[in-house]
Formats: sequence, C-alpha cells, structure tokens
Amino acid sequence: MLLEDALSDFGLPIKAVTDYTKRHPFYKVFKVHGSVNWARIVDNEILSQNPKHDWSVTHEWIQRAAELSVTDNYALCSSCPTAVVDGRPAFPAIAIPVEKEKTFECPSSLIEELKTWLPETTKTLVIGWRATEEHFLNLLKAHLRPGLLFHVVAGNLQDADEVQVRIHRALMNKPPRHVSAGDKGFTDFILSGDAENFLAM
Amino acid sequence: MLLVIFGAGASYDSAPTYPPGVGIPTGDHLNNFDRPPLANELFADRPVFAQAITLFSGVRANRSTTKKAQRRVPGSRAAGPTSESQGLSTWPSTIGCRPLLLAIHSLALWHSVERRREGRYELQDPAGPNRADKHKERAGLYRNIQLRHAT
Repeated sequence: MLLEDALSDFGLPIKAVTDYTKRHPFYKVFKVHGSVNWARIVDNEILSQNPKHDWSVTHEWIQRAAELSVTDNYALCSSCPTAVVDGRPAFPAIAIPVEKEKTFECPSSLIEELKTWLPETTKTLVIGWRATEEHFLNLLKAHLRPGLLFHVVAGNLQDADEVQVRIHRALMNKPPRHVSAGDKGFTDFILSGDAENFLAM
Repeated sequence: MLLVIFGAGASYDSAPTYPPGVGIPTGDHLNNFDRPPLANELFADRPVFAQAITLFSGVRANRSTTKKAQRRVPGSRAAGPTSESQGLSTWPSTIGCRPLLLAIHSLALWHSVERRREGRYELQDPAGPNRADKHKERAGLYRNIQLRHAT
C-alpha cells in the first residue's frame, strides 16, 4: 500500500488489478506475494446470518478454513477484515514468506507479463529483500539476461553480503556484470544520493 | 529497463524521520506499533500483533501455531529451531494457515490505514502532530476495532 500511495503521486492511481501493469506507459508493478488490499473470490456460499458483516464472515471463514474453495479471481478490497468484496465472498490474497513457496499469490496473467518484461532488464535494484525465496529466484534465473548491473540495499553489512552471495549463486549461469551493495538501509540510500548515482550509471 | 525488487525491509525503513535503530524520545512505541514488521518478525509477540490475534478467537485458540509459524520463517528470532532449512518442509499447508492469514492480513491492513491517517496529518501540518495526540488517535482506533468486533 505504501507503494500504491507513492505511485498515485506519479500518475498511476490503482483502481483495479489491471492498473498495476496496463495503466501507465512505463511503470509496471508486480506484487508477486499478494497485497493487503487484494482478495481472491471464494466459491463457497456465506452461511452467516449477517452475510454483509465482515467480522461475522471472517469468523465463519476461520471455522470453515479447510473447506473454502478460493478461486483465482482477484479483486481489490479496502475493508478490514477482508471477507466480502462487492457483495461477493472473498479471502485475503497475501502470502506468508517462506523459502520453499511453490506458487505466487498473484494473478497468473501478471506473472506471464512479468516474464515478458524481465529479459528487458538492464539494471536491478534490490531494496530490503533477502533473496531467499527460491521460487522468485528461479524466475529471475530463467528470464533475466546475463551481464546486468545489481545494487543491493540492506540494513547492515552482514545482510548486504548474504544477499550478494545469494544473487551470485542464483544467477550462476547468467552472471551479473557487477553487484554492489549499501549497508545503511533504504532511507540512507535515498538521502545520501546513492540512489541517484546508481540510476545515473 | 530498471527492475526494482522491494522486500519487507523497504517498508521497514520507509519513515525517513525514524530510521531503524534511531533512539526514540518517547520510548519504543514507534517500533512496537507503527513500523511494518520484517518477514522474520511477522509472528513475533509484538503488541499490535498480539492485539490483532485476540480479535480472532479461532486463531487465539491455536496460538502455538503462530509460534511454530514464526520459527519457520527464514531468519526468525523466535526461540526454537531457526535454521533456514529446518522445518520448512513441514510448514502448515495453505489451508492450515488460512485462519492465521486472516489475522495477518487484517493486521497489515490496520497498519496501512493507520499510516494513511498519519500521512494525512503530515500533509495538513508539515511539523506533524503532537505525539501525544497521535497516541490518543491510535487508542481511539483500537477502541473502534474492538467495538466493531463486539457488534
């Protein structure tokens, strides 16, 4: 949501899932692990006596968790908790980060679109990402070209080193041209001018 | 073309006034309440998380699940097995995680609403509101959540 707020200042207000990649001529946003304002439509009928009351439906979902049929139909939502979107039963579309995740919490059409853009990449900036998710690393490995410039922004030296090692390891067959790192965090990266320097390279 | 990959650390350090590690005059309230958690702190026993969990009776009854879940997130600081390879294959199935997901999602949305409210404050008053007022506001939001839950 922080990202969505920022993008609206750059002429990219997000009003529908398709806006993330179709609305702006050069900003494309792919949230591969879902989002706090995303939901997936649920096929099950709501049994609660108050089917429009988010809390009632949420508690129903908790009780019926094992039998829910969560579809691949994604929608934006703003209610808290997320249980009903435009009158339709819904379930939060957000992933818990684990290393061995097998799928993305994201419409498959967006993943396919991401795959078509990745080979166009010339520079990669990694901010606050530990590079431990195998599934996403495999996607980069399969679709990025060799010889890219990488810069890693981490909160400390150890994290910065570890992320660099993981990137090198993941892209062993398509080695980057150069990987640099900053270990003072995102705020410092912006305020110190390092961000501008990297973009100017 | 530039590819930017944002992880949880980006939002963790997204408040230039209060970068992580900077001493906060009023105590650690900001870190406990306002800072979006890193992935390895997702299930940690933080005040807002604990508060959110209490709103979901089905999850509260299974608090041990959250502790187990925390141990399975890479780099977790929770007690118990924390190795990155350990336990990941026994991560609860998607279905098993659903109640927890609902709680996490609501908590994340709560964070988002809170930050937007504070953002609007800052737009209106570049100096920002008095912190005591912010805390009163936050307490009001808690009451609102509890009231909605009770009705």
